[in-house]
Amino acid sequence: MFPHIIENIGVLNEQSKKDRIRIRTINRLNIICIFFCVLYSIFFYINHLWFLFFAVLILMQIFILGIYLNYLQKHFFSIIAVIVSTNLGVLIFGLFLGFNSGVHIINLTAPLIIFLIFDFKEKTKIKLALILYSSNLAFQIIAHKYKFAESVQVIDSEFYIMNIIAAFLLLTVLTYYFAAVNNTVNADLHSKNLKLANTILEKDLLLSEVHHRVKNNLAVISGILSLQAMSLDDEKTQKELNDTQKRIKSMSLIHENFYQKEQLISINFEEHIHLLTDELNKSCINTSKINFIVSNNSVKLNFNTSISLSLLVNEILNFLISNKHKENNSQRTIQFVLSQIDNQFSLNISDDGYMKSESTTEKSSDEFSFDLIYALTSQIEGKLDFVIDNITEFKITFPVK
Amino acid sequence: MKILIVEDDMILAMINRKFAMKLGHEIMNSVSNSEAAIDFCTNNAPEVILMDIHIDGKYDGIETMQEIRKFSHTPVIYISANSDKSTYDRALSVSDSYFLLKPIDIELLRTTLDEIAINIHQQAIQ
Repeated sequence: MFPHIIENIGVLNEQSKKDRIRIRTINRLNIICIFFCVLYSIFFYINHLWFLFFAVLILMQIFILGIYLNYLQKHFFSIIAVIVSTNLGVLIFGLFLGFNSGVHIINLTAPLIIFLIFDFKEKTKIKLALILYSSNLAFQIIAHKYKFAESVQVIDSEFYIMNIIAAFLLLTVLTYYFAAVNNTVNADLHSKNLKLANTILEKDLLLSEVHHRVKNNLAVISGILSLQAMSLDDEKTQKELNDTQKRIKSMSLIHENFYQKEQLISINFEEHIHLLTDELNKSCINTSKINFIVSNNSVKLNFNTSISLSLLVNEILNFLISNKHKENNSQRTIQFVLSQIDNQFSLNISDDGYMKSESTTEKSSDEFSFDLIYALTSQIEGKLDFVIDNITEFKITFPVK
Repeated sequence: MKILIVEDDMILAMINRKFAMKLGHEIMNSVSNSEAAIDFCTNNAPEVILMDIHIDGKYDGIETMQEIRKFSHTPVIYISANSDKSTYDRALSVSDSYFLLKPIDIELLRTTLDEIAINIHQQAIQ
């Protein structure tokens, strides 16, 4: 319908599809307006209306300038040229041909023109353009009502039919074009949405597979350690292998917790401690008399901190429960309090039943546990304080990240 | 008890086999896909199935058990890396089923197998 070379003036491959559509639309609008200008100029020439004839020629040049500005990649000025020339055209013809000529009806096309040449997000510009077109129409109505435009009217209502046809023709063409542009944009969005949905599905499957692999690998390591521990006679080595197996279990639980919640940003650590203590209760017969109390003010931690803190909690728990508890204390309570004050997290683990061991095997194991506890505290840039007394207490403070 | 292991990871299959043998059970076979598991249960009568959920073949572990349930009531212990609610609910919707999370703990496996043995014994008495 439009000359291909002209409608693509100023359109570049590196522009976004939306921008390309907009530039083409401005070019097409200018072509339509030039077409109408040619028709009107012939009409004015035949009727010897020289002033209007030259006015149309000037308008035509502004429309051509709009296309040229697109060629120069001055798209904003091209839009201004379209708005100025259409407003000027309707105003001049409205005043000189008379209100009864029906030229003002062309103003009805203004909303379509505005929404075609502006991006929907450019709300201020859209408002300004709408005000300009409305003011134009209002001015023509006032000029007609107070009859101050009558003196300049060169022709009366005899071209009414022609102007009405031109206005509605323009309105129809623009409405059809507006719908076509919207369809193209909608089809484009639909195809992008489909692609995004497929990408998300692929990523979900990939994430699920990676999670499965991580858990399987941890299960393999844990199983091998367990089998090795079973094949050994040395009690000390057996205990160390079992302790390492528990460390792997703790890591595995964190992975599981993150994956289950489908929330890879943060984790509710209270839930994790519950899972950890549940697992401990299930697998260790000697923890049956331990009462675990967890209090947490809904503190959420990120993945890296959670992994280190989980290992830290696991290590402290192992240290506490692998040692004999006080004989006179039949019900042992281990309490966890995780809280946040300003930019600091604080984790308190207290045990009312810990008793320092005298066995050399356990002492060397405790030494390694403490090495790990200190290393993991450094990992989360934290500080460790502990008291081994009537109630044994570990206090870890670490910054919020 | 006579156990069938369904696990597509050969190392985990070996670990499960060793665990079960350590606990005094007999391993009838170890297969890696759903078709082989269904085929084995059609021609044999294991007393317990240790079933991984993420396995090779036409069906996953839960669907494989749904197929096996059409002709056998052998108790199943699912061993899964995922314990999300939908997997957990789907797994336990199959009758006589138990659920263990990877990495499995030999003590938990012992407790679960003992529970199954007691159930089988009680059913035999009734």
